[in-house]
Amino acid sequence: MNASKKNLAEVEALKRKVKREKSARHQAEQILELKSTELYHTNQKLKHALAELDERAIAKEKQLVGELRANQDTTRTLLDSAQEGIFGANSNGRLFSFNRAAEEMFGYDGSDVIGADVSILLASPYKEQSDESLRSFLQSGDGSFLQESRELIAQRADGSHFPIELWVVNTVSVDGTIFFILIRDLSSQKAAEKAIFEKEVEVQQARDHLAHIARVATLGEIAAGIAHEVNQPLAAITTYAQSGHRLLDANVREKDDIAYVLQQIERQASRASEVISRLRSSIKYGEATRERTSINTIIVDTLNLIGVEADRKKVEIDYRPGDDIAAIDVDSVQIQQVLINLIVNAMQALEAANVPHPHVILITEPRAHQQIYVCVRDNGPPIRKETMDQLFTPFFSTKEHGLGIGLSLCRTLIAAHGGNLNINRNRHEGNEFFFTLPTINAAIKTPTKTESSNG
Amino acid sequence: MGEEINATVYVVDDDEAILDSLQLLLKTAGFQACTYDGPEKFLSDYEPTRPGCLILDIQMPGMTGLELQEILADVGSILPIIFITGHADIPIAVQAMKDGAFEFLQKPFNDTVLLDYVTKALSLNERQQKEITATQAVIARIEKLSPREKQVFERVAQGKSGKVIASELNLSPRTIEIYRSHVMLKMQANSAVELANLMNLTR
Repeated sequence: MNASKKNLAEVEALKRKVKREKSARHQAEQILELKSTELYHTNQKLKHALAELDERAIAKEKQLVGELRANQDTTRTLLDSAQEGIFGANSNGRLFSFNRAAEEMFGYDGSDVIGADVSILLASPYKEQSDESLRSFLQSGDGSFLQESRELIAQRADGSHFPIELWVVNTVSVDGTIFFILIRDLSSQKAAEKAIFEKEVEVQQARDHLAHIARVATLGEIAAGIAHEVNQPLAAITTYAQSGHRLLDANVREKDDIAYVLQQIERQASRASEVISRLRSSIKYGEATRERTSINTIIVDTLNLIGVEADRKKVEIDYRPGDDIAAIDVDSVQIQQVLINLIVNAMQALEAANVPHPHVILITEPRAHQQIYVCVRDNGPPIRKETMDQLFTPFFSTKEHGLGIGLSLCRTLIAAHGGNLNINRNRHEGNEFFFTLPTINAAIKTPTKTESSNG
Repeated sequence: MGEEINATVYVVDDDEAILDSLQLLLKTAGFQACTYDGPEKFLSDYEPTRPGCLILDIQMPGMTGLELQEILADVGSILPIIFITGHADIPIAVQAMKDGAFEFLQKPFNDTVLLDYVTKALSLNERQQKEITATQAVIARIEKLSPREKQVFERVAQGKSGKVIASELNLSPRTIEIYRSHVMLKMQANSAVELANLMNLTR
């Protein structure tokens, strides 16, 4: 009985507790509902406010985008209308713009290369070099890259190469420094330059060839003298050798005689070969090559070559070298050719006119403006004034078998050396041809002066 | 024959090597040689009476070989000249031979040929020298004749008889006979034929 009483009491207690808790929850629920309503309203307000803000921002953005598009279109039109290939690259060297001219030049579609590295447009070794110099510019902000235009080789989409001229322009945008690279295709210009160069080479070769022919022709006129000069030592060698045979036949005990004969043979053989090599160097065929020398050396060599012919023609040659003649950078063979031409002309005229005491005088003198002056004077009958006008005309000749290229070619050769060849029109006796040659510049003049004073 | 030993081969050439090699060759072949590097030097040394021959270059600065030949001819030199030249210039060779050159050789020359020419030139010179000596002796003898003897000498040499000469000179044949024997004695001749030969020498 006690137990049931006790149980009943406990149930009552529990019922009271439940009731209490229910009312507390209800209370809480009511508070919560209130709060949530409050929150909802606040939220709604906030939403309105936000929506309002959004609308304004979108409108603003739309306006901006529109403006940007218009701007981009203008830029695009501008870039596409340019003759030069123009492309933009960001500070990482990635392409972000590629105009129509660039598309045509490179054979890429703009969309193919946007995002690619600038270096795909260049050929080796510029590809690598440009990488470096562009990068170094990007890092340090300066470098040779922006200073001036440069010429390099570009590579098309199909891998072919073409020469270009390139400028880089940099500008600062929201994304940092960007570059615009302007390119001009130099293919046609280079082709033209090459054609001009080839033509020049062709002309030069033709001139060298003509010079060679004239040289051989001129030397032909002094060939008898040169043949004589070679024949003399050969005759001596023959006679020495025959004497040697006789000495052996006679059973001479003196070895000295045989030794002498052999020594003389050797000496005469080298004398003959010197003449030959001098001749060979005078008719050598090849491109004009400049070397530092003195006019004196050239004249002495020329007189060696021409001396026997002058003796044969009984023409006295008087060489009067000037003092203090600076060195020259010339093709010695060509200058020698000019001298031989002038001297042989004079000798032939003297011979034809049968002038008593025929002579040719050679004079060298230093002249102002770093020039040397060389003159070839003769005492032959003066050339008529009418003839003088035609002297330097190609294919004009007063000689029966003359080619008429000698003097005109001499003038060309001297002009090619920066000098001038002419006839002195004011002489009353004989004739005087002269030419000038530029000396090497004053800076290098001093050492050659000491050189010439040694010689 | 003392004269033959003294015969000298003169060589004139402007080329030292040619002179030296020729001197050696001539010496080796047993000739006496004397070299000159120019005609002027040769002329200043030249004695017309010395026997020998001349090896002469044509092309030389200053006086040429041909000019020297002319000068020697003008002074009556009988030195035979062997011309040597560097190249065969035919007109010059022809001229030299016309002007009495002994031979003409082109350089380089065959030693046997050259030495043969030298030997022949020397013997020609010797012969001519002897003829000159003989002629000079005859001239000296003629000069010793009296005017009358000279008249008789000329006529006898022409083959005229004593009678013809006597009538031409208005003398007796007997007198002519005396003159004729004087002439024979003075001219060292034994017959009219010999006299004729002596007279021819002087022409």
